[in-house]
Amino acid sequence: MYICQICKKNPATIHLTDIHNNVKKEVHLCAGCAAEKGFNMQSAASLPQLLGIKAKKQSTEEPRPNRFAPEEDIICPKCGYRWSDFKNKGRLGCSEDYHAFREKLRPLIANQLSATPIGPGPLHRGKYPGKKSSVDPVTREIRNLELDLRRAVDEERYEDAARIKSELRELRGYAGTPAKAADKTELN
Amino acid sequence: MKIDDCLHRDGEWLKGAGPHCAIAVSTRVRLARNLARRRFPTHPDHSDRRKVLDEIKDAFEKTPSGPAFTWYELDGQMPIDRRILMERHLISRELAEGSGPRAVAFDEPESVAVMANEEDHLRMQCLRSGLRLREAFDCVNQLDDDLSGRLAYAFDPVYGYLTSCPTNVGTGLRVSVMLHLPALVMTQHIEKVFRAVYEMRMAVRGFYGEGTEAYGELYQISNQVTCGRTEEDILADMEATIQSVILYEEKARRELAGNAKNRLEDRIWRSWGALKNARLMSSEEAMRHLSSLRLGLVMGMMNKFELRDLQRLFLLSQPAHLQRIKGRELDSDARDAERAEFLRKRLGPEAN
Repeated sequence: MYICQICKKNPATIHLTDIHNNVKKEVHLCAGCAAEKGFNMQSAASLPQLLGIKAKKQSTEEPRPNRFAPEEDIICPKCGYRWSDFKNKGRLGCSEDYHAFREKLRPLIANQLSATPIGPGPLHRGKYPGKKSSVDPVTREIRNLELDLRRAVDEERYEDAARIKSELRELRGYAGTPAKAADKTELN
Repeated sequence: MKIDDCLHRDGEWLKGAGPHCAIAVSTRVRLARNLARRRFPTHPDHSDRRKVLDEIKDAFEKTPSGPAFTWYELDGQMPIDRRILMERHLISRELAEGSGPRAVAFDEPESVAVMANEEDHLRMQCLRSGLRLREAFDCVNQLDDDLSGRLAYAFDPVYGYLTSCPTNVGTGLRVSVMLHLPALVMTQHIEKVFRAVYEMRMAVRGFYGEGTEAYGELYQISNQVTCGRTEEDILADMEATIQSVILYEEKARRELAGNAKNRLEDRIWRSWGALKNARLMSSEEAMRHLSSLRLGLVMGMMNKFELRDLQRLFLLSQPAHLQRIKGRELDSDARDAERAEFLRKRLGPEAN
């Protein structure tokens, strides 16, 4: 437990972290001294979040930057893990961190996907739990044939290439709209 | 289960079979999953770990394939046993060297392995020899379907499957293919391949995965992007890239056979000489020479043994396997002597 750094008597219940140029500074204050210094408790985005303790009820509110810390260290209300922990270790503490740190995490994840900025909305395009794989057998066969075709051309097997091309034409005709409609149903 | 039982088996990836096996040694497909409402294993508070392990074990044993698997808890096991599992590519270095409640479940052909409490609660992998991405994916995908009915996964419609490292979020799918690329190394084209692969947003890793060396001219190429694309997109991209690298290595092998046959034969037979005569052999050197023999074998320049037998030597000359075969702990110098003797005997007069 920390003792308030101002009055040096009361237990500190408010812990502020500032990271500047990779140097971490921590300030620990009691509620009285914090109020004296002009920290308005009412306007804190989420007290449990600010204090780094587990909230009794899971907050549905979006975490907002902590106005007390010049460069705020967000804390996950569920597991107490901090954004600075993630920056140090490169790993997250629990699945709720994706919500707690979303403002900072989303651009990181979006950057991995594409060099061009990605707008709002879902990033995930793959499978959903409890649903069968989104893999469509016709699309898969088309992709396999495209690879076979490339290989046949590279190896100058032109007769094979012609045969694969005609198979591809046939399959693409079959795959048209119905396959796409099926994909959509799967994802919704 | 006794780890020694494994020593008499060939793991799936050692078979030396499957499409493009002259170059593609093995295919590995893994899915990362976490349980909802439980801290990730990377959280400093480890109090959830035991519960996670029990939940996974219970769910896993109820899947259709579960009963055929060996469930092996790693906490409290001897380091050498954990290292053997790592050398067999059944667990990662992180799981082998970690601490606390953690386990692996694997089937007898050593084709499917499920790690519990590694970096994520669940890491399911399927290994296949040769280039067989779809087959490996289908296998691990089925297991995922079986488990998802029994476990509540941490999933978010925006991000997909939530993982402790954001570089795995989305599909949680990592596909990697181990390629034997000696001709590209010899012709000094390997750097070009690396650059092209990085541009495709894929990674090149060493023999034991992330952060390990590429011994024996064996490289693992894997996808880096796991989110924003479907599983099928990722597989298709990987397949196309791997096929290109294979074509490039084939071309380099043809060039060497045409323009530098002497150099190629010299390398192969020098390695044969070293393996048959050396008195000290580090595992790195052993892999380099075994790599030459593998090249000679698949190019038809030597026919002294089967590909499968040769690949088994890659595994058996690793430090933990070697010590297990000898039945005692050996320091590094003693291992080098034992390894040299072991390889001499294995490639002995009957192989001549």
